[in-house]
Amino acid sequence: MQKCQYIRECDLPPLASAVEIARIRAACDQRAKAGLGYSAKQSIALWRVPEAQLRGAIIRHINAGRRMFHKFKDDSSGTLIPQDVQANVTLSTGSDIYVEVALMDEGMIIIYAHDHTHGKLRLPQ
Amino acid sequence: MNAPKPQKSLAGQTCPLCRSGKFHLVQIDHTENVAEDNPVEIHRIWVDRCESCREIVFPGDTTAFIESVVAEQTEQLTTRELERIRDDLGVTAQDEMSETLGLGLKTYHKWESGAQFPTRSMCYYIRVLAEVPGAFEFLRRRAWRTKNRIATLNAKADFAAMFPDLVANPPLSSRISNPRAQSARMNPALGLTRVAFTFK
Repeated sequence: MQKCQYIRECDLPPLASAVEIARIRAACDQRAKAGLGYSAKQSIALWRVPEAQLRGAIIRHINAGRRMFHKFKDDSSGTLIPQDVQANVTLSTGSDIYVEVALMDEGMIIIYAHDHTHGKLRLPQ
Repeated sequence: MNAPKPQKSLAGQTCPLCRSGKFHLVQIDHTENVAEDNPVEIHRIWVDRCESCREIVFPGDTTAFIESVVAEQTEQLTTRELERIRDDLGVTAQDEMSETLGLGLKTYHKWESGAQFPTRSMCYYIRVLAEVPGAFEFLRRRAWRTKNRIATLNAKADFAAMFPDLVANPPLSSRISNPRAQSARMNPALGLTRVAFTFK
């Protein structure tokens, strides 16, 4: 069994606001409002998972009251990437994946959806 | 098949990755790596592409189009085909279809709603059932349960004919009036053991 460790609570980025989560939830309900980044598209093709299932997994994540976080910039400055939300989402197949979403004027883009990086700490749910 | 132009596009919006370029709706050729040995080429699909970092975003409609092309190329059953087959077979409930096919309760529902793809082998199997209604009826009635059995509970076996040696030489246990030996007589394995020894 794969070892998985989570980011400590004190090191977590701030939670996404209720308004942001509601926007993600609304975008997930409509296929036309949820674009897929190239990386996310490649992942779901590899997993043989329909795009609808990925959106469904995000909806279930939100409905279950699980957490979605903002994302820090990679430059260690501690500043947040605006309009960017990340989460550790469970697919209906049972596997946990990393999902990163960019909120747009109308709808959203699922920029990344991939397996958790081996050896890196995961976001808690 | 021409790729449909998406209803909603990100054209004119700033790319969330590079934060400098803007998206434009363009047509590209795309290769979907369904399996290592079976890439599916799809020509001139509509995507939003950032003019600066060249990041590509697949609008929802384009993703649906890609999935339908891949389904066709890989002989996958689409949601509509599954629904039509179920109707043709006279099954009204998805749960019933799941049970008949021997699947988990929600599996068929997930296939028909597009939340999960059936495997290619399962698609072949369902196609056969759709084309041969007798096969589906056989499956629905679990007809093999009344056929091709080596032995059934109702059948009376003629043990005297099968084991004449046992009739001529009853097992030792049957000649001993010991309660434990009496119960041992009920064990058919003891008789078979004796047959084996007799042959030696």
